[in-house]
Amino acid sequence: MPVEDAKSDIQGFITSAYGHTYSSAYLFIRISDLAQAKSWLTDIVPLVQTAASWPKDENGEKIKPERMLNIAFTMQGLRTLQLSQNVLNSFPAEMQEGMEEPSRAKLLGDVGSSSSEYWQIGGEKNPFDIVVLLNAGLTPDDDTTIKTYVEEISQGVESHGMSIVHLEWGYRRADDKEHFGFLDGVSQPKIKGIHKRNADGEDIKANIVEAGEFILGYKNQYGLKPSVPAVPVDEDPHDILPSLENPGARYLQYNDKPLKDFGMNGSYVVYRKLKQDVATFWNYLKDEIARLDGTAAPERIVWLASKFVGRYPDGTPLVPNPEKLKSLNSFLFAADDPDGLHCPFGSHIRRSNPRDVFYPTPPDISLDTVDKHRLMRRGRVFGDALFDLSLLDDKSNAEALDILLNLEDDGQERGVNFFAVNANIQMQFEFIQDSWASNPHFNSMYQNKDPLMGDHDTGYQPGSYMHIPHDPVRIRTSDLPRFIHLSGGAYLFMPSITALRFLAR
Amino acid sequence: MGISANGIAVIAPIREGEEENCRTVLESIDKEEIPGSIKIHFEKKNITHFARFVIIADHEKGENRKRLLFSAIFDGSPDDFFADMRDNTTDIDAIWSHCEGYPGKSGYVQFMKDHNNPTGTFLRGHKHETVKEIQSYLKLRDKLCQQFNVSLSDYNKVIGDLPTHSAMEIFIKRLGSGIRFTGRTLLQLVMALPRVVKLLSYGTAILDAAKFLNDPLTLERDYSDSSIDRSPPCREFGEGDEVVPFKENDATEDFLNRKMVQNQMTVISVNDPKTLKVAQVVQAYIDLLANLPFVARNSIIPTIHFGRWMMIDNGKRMLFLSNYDGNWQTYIGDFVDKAAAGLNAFWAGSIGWSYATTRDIELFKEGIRCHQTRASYFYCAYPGATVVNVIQAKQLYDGYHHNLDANTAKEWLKHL
Repeated sequence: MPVEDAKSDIQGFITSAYGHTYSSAYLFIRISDLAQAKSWLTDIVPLVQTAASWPKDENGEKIKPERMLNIAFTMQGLRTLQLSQNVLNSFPAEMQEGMEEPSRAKLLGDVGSSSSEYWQIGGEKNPFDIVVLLNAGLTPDDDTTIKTYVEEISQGVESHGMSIVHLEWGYRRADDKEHFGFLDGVSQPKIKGIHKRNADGEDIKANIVEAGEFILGYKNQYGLKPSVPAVPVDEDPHDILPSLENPGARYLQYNDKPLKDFGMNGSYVVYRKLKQDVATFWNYLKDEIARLDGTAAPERIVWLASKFVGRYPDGTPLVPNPEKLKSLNSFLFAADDPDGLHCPFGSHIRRSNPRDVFYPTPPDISLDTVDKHRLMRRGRVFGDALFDLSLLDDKSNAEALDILLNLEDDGQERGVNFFAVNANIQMQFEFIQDSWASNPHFNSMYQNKDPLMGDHDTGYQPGSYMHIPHDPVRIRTSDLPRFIHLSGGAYLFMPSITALRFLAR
Repeated sequence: MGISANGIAVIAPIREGEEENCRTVLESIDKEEIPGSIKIHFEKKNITHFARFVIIADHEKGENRKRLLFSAIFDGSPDDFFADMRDNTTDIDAIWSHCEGYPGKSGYVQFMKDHNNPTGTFLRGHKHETVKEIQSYLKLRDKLCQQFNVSLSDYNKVIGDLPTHSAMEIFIKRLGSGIRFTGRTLLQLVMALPRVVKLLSYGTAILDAAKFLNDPLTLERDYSDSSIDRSPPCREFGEGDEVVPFKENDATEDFLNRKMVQNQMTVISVNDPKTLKVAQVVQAYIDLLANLPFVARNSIIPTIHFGRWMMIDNGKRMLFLSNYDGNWQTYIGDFVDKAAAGLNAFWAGSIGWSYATTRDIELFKEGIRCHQTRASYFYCAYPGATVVNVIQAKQLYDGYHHNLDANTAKEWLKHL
């Protein structure tokens, strides 16, 4: 079945950022009674927002849903729902071991204050079974709808003997900035067969990635279907799940028995609660500019921050002639910026998506390689901004930037509740995090991790610096401190509607 | 400038019951905090690029028996390397006396030579650079980094203060380099002849090997008989296959702690006797290609420092040893992305890895995980530098030593 015909079986969270809503809440749930949990699941499945096209009104306008619910499970949750060990064994190693597994944590940079022992949710200390993801609120100032929604769902959860062990809130700023002050979520891949037209109704021709990179059951960028969790046929007595079509796939223990496809139309979701240390970020930049220039001019501080990010605060990419771009994402590097003189190789955007310059491979192979390691990001910010972030965009009022000279931490938590959808956590999220973001030697660099996301300043690793190609000689900053800390995380399975029905039986 | 780094792969059986003692000794090497630990002073003579000890299975002797594998890449002759190791290890006998037939320090060099296995294919990321040269490139790089640790307004002054050389001086240096390059190229041509002869000696098997090498490989899950059971322990991929008991995370502690950018991989698979000859031809052919003059370095997989394939145990098994940059995922991913047909050719003759070894990436990865063993000791002479960093540092070094003036300096300083 083509993916476009399966949209009503795919959870909408996989295919849509629900950009028309502004408020989110994430309910982390523990199951205490199997029968009650299954009963709750039976009730909740019809409420799950799918990827099916939204209906249209009489004027042909799409009727946007006002409240959306999606659901994902940890391995612990699937175990609690009494999936057999055979089924659990068919999940990828990273799901079975968990984000917090010690050697994995080191590769991901989840060390020191970001290690799982300090997490607020997830890991061995704060386990959970299910996360319910709620989105609501059609305007930035509407926080009532989401609160009501959370209350409603919480009642259902608790009345089924389950407990909400943690609750996170998220919201989308009207200006779509994250807390450092930069426009976020600009570069998102499009799913072949799902995303056909952009917001202006034009056909999408660029940045399209095979469905199998994000949805199980379809071919990925390698031309292969990603491996899926499977269920022996006798463990699906109600014949809910589709048959597993891969003829070669087998359980070693069940050589000759047919298998059911538990993964089809589902996906894997990575959750990370990222706390941003905004004051440290801007104060570091201020000190660096003072060191480099002899004086800390605010516009130079913003310049340096933009080099870290790879975009200006308003989202304009650091490319030659950005005014000629059709969109904030329609650019490559090979032709206009092969040496990183505009957008540094070490900048956040150039290492999250190196596009067509991935040393030493030629541009077409670079693009091909990069498209095998993409993420569908679904983050929402939490906490109040430390300062008026719009000041960063107001070029007519340079004096307002003086605020950057005197920023102090207010002790409040702020950051991003980051979710990423991918069909293969190892080849996508972990690959990007370890081999690109945290790799000090990424793309031919030397001692340069992602300046924003990197696990700098761990005390036992060599220093990490930001290299900025520059005339006559590159600029290298002093040792970077860590600006983003992890305070929660989990690898999740987001089943199809069919698989949810199977779980509910 | 050296000719090419050399490699050895010594395999010796460990005495029955000594396996764990041997492992304990190996895992304490260079760890000063462990009382009685051994120190190997590779840095004294400084000719060793990489070295590792791995305890591998000894299937012929029994289920629980082990063998000691020692592999190293070094500058100069094996005799010099073995003598260096013998003389600069605090207690070489404490390592090797666990092995059967070890005669003691006085017979160490001969013992190592007797148990060495010849390399079938040798890929080099640094083809001609010695350890000392690489370290001097990196040292200069660090020095320049410090010199430019100034405010931006002082950059031009730092550039102006860099040492310069007269045009005549540079010309003479370049001429010398050219002569050395020509001499080395001729020598390499001569050294390639035995490789050609070896390849031709396989006769018609060359045609069979060509089929593998020219296969327009497409990835296809339908070719796979991959298990969907992702849980440890490993299970054999076919009758007669030998796997490690659990899926190895091959990263060493220093790599995980990012004190070292290089990683190591030791993979042993069992050859199908029917296709052994073809596999040997593949190794000989790729070895010839990789070692021809003008093939400066391996640029297809830019993360390989040194990679070697060899037949061991009279052709019963194949050993793959790799010293590479970054993590396992990236490395294997790079291989599959860029050289799937080559990989297929190497492992197509292994039992349990079907003809289409790399048609299914996940099966290939599963195969590597189940056939690899983590090193108990791993050494690198330049732990902070990737292959690409070494190449850049060399360009910087060359520029520095051929610097004419501030304008030429700006060109080579791009590599800083």
